[in-house]
Amino acid sequence: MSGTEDGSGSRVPGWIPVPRTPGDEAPADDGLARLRRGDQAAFAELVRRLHPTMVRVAGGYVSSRAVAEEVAQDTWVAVIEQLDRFEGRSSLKTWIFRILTNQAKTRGVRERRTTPFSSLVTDREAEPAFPPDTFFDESHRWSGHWAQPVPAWELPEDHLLSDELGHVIQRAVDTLPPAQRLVVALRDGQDLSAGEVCAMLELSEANQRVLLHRGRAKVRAAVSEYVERLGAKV
Amino acid sequence: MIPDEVQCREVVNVLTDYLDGALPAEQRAALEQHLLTCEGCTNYVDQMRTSIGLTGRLQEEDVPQAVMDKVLQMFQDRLPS
Repeated sequence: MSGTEDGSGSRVPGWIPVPRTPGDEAPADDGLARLRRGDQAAFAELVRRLHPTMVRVAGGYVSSRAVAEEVAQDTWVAVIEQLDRFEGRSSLKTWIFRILTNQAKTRGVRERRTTPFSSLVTDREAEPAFPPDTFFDESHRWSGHWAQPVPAWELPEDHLLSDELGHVIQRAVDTLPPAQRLVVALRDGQDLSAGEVCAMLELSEANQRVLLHRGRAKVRAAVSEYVERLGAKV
Repeated sequence: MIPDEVQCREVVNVLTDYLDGALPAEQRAALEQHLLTCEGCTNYVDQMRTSIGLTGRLQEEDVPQAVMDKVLQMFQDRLPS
């Protein structure tokens, strides 16, 4: 792989430069210096933080989880090879995810799978985020307001940190329609900005927002169900 | 969005923009005014913040040891220690 910093060889079609803002600078302590010194612990920490999401994101472009895992591992190879060439124009994390999405798209093409992000947007993406009876309809005097109560979640701290709830979230994200899954995994799972995700996935701001909105609503609904089950158990 | 006329459905629809700080000031003020009197929306916004925070913990999933060993070996082989 050669050429641009994101490993694409050339600028990807539709790539929109992310506007630079003061908070958008690569953090001073990105771990980059430690990585360049060959610090294994820093590299292991980076792999722990990013690898699961990388597999999840690659999975949106390729045919199986096994191939997605290969793409993620190939990305680490590219990261190691190009670390000295990384200029820090984005955060290290954003750079790595750009390499990943470029690799995943290339692999998808090789698999003869359609790869533009728009092709990931299936009919399931358009499913409404809420059941139709969530809000009062137009015939009601409280039209557009909650028809069902939204009780506060009573979650003790230890439940918030429990593995069980972690698995609920993981399952909820993994069962989202592909485009929603990618956006939620990158925005909320990795705390990337809207601009970064739009550039990476070649998405408009408006589409990104709709996918995130629907995906988040489903993840929240999964947590809500878990909280209700928990309440019923007590 | 006019404060007295804000519907809960609208709050839900613009919540992603609100949490991104991307809502125009007037709409933001109207939404926050609505939250002062609507328990359902206040709970929904709190739940969404919690849910987003929990999704951020996905990055703490375990990486299979075989994968970790493999990439660490690549790192060790390619970079001067």
